[in-house]
Amino acid sequence: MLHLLTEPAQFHSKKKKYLYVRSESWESLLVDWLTEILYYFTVKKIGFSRFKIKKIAPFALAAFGYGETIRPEQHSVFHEVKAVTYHDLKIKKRKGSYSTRIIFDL
Amino acid sequence: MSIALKKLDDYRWQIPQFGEMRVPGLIFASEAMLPKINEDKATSQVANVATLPGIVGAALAMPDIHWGYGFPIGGVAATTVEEGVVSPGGIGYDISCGVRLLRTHLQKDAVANKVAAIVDSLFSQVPSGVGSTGRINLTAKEMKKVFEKGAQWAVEKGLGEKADLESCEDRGRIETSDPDLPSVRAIERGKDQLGTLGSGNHFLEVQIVDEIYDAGVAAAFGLFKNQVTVMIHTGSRGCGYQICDDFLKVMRTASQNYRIQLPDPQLACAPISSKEGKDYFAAMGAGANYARANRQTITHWVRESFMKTLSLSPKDLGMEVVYDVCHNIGKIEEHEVNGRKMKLCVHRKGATRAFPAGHPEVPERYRSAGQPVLIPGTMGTFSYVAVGTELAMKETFGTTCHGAGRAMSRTKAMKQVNGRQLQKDLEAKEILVRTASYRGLAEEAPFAYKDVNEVVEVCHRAGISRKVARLKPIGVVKG
Repeated sequence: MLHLLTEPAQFHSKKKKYLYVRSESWESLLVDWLTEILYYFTVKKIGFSRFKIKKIAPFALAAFGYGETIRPEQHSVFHEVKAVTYHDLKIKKRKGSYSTRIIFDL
Repeated sequence: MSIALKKLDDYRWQIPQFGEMRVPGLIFASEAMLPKINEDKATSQVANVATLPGIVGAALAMPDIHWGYGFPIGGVAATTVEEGVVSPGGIGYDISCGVRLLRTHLQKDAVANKVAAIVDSLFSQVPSGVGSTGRINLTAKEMKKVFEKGAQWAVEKGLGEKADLESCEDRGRIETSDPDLPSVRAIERGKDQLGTLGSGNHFLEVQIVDEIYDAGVAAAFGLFKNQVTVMIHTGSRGCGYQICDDFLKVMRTASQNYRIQLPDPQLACAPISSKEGKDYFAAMGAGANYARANRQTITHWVRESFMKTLSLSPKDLGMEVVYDVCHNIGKIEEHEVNGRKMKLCVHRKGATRAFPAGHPEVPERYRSAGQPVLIPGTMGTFSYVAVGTELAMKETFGTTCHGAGRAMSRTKAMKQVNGRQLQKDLEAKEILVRTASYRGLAEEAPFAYKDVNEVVEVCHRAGISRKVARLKPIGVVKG
C-alpha cells in the first residue's frame, strides 16, 4: 500500500509512533492495520518507511512506525488511497508464509 | 462465474432468478456492450444484490456497469422500508459524489482567446489533486454545521446565492442527517478538504453546448447552443469515505446479529428500521451534506474566477446553477411496484435519479419539463444533459446512468500513454488541461473509460432518460 501512495524510502526515521489495532479476524486485522497507516498518512501527514512489530496475537497488533512529516515540496505522493476494502479478501498460508490479494479504492 | 442473460429487448437483459436471488436482475445495455460487461464480475454482483432481504422489482444495472465493492458501479436496488435492509455498499464510499452544472449568459466567442486564462485561474482557485487540502479549515463544531446544513451552510457563509439552492436536488440539504454521527476521524479527514476537487475521475470543466436534442426542455433548463457552461464533478472527499468505512464495520456485525446471509461480505447491511440502519441513514445524510457544501463552495470560486478573468459583473456573467444531482446515495422514496404504492429505500451507486415531469421533487421551474440529469463524460469527451422520464419511474425507480465507467485499469492506462503527451494531444483538440499530476492524468485517459456516448444512447433508446443537450469540453482542471 505504501508503494501505491508514495516512495516509502524517502522518509527518514525522524518520528516514532506507537500503533495498536484490534479486530475480529485476521482479515479484518489486516484491513484495520493498513487503515491505521493510511490514517497517519492522510490525516496526520506522517509517512512511514519502516515498522517494528512488538506483538501480534489473535486479533491484535502492536508496533512502532518510523517516519517523518510529509512535506509536499520534498516528498512525492503518487495516489490518494481512499479506502482499504474487504473485497475478495482472503489470507492464505503457504509453506510457512502468508499471501493475500487486497483491493484499495484509489 | 459466468451468468446466462435472457434478452428481453435490444437494451434489456435479464438475469433470471436462481439460487438465493429474491428477484431477477435487469441490465440495461446494448448487445455490443455485453462482452466487456461479462469480462468482470459485475453480472455476478447484480445477482448477489438480488439476494438482499426486502428487495423488490429487480436488481438493476445501468449501461455503465462495472464491478465495485458489493454492489456493482451502475447498480440500483430498492428495498422495502418495513422489512428491507440498507447496505452502505449500495451507496458507495464517496457518499453523494455527484455533478453540478452551471450555465452562463456567455457564448463561446466571448471566451475564445481566454480559455487558458480561465483554466489557469480555476486551477489556482480550486484546490485539486492527491490529498488536496483547501482554502478553508474548519473546526469540529463548524463541520457539524456542514453535516447538518449542506450547501445551505456554504450560502450562509457567503459562498454562493440563495437562488443556487433552488436548483439543487433536495435544495442542497438532506434534512434527515445527524451531524453527531460521523466519527472523529470523519471530521478529521473532512475539516481541511471542503472546497476541493480531489483526484481520480473528479474534474472541473469549462464546456460549450455543442448540440441540442430537445429544444423545449433545453430552453426550460436555460441552455442554448454555443453557450458556455461549467461542470463540477466531486463528492464528499475523505470524510464520506470514512463514514462509509465506519459503517461497513457496524454493518458487518449487524449482518451477523440479524442473521442475514450474504453472498459477499461487502453487501453488509442491517434492517432499515433497526438502530444500525437508522444511524447509517443519518450519517450518510451528513456525508451527503458535506458533498453538497463542497460543490457549492467550488461554485462560488468558479464564479469569482470567471468574473475576475473576464472582467464581468455577476449580472453580465449570469452564472447560475442548472442543477446539482448526485449518483451515490440512498433515498427513501415512494414508488409503484406491481400496482401497489410502496415506501422504499432506493440505493443508487453510480446511477443518477431521473424523475419525470410533474414529480413534486423536481424544482418548480423544471416541473413541466422533468428533472435535469447530468452525465459527465471523461476528460476529453462529451458530457450530457438528459431529462427524467415516466418509463424510468416504472422500470428503474426513476434512475438512469451516471457516466462512462472504467474499461481499463489505471496501471494499464499509464503504460499506454504519457501524461504530458496526453495533455498535448488534448490541446491539439482545443481542450486545455491543467493537472496536479501527470501520472494521474495518464490514468484518466479517455480510452480507459467506456464510451459515454454509447452509454447515454442506450439509456435514451431504452427510454429511461431522454437526451437534451451535449456539452463539449474546452478546458479541464484535473486532480
